[in-house]
Amino acid sequence: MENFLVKGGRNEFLVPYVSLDSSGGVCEISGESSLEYTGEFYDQIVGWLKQYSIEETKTLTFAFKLTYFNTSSYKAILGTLRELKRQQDIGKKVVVQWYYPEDDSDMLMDAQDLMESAEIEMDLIAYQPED
Amino acid sequence: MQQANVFFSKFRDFLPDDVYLSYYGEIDNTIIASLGIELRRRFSNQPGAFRKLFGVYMELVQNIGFYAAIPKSASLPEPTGLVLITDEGEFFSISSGNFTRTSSIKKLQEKCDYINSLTMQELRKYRAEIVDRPTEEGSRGAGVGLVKIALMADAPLEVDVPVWNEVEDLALYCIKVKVKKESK
Repeated sequence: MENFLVKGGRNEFLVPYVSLDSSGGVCEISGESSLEYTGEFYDQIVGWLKQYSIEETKTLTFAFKLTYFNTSSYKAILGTLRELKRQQDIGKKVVVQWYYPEDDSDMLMDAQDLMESAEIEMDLIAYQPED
Repeated sequence: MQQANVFFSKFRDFLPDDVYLSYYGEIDNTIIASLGIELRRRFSNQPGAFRKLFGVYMELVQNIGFYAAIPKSASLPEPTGLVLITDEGEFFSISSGNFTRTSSIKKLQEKCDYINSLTMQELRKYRAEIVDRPTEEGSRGAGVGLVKIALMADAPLEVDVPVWNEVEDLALYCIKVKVKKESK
């Protein structure tokens, strides 16, 4: 199964870094998310996750390390979390980690709300942001 | 230009004087990104306030891009809007303005009044409800932008939607959001 990589960056839109690694079962999305075609962007991630659950048996660890996302991305991230929850429900080993700057109470609140809406357990991990 | 002068003066009357950042004109993706870079630069030493201001800013300008109406009688680019960040004592305030249809006035005011009536916990519950609803007809965003703004704000949203030109079916939509300077 092929890996999926988006280098991300800030241009007209805020494109997050995305790495979906099938060999290690390690996935990460980080940076900022405000996209031209939000649904299509996250559909690619969900599609990859669905394929992984069909082809692979290794534990999947998905780390969210976003520092900003707009409300369209919020909705798409919720869809991604619901796919991860679906995989857990059918017996797949899935671990979800959500990293947030230790001084960002809004991001922690968003993570808690997404966790509740997706009905999925996430490890909420505070980190000290770089200056 | 006369139309633009009237438009600007109406918003200027509504706003205080200590301006950190102001923009009036076309709101396209390049402008949104450029103003975002300027926000990062100006508030680089206040990360807490920056996060809130940037989050509010992005929702406001994206809404202008989605929903702003333009007078037929004015040669303005579409969409056109106004963004201001000002100093209000213990707060930074960020405001946006754009034309909208008069038919939107009641809905906008009712939505803002409802959001302002909710506690933080109620706002979070409301967001969870509406994020799962099908996108409303005519809506181009996720439909939760105002709720997200209210969650980040440190004071009730201030909204004014006066009729601007009945013949052209136009109103002015102005919203002001305050965040504390020592925000975390």
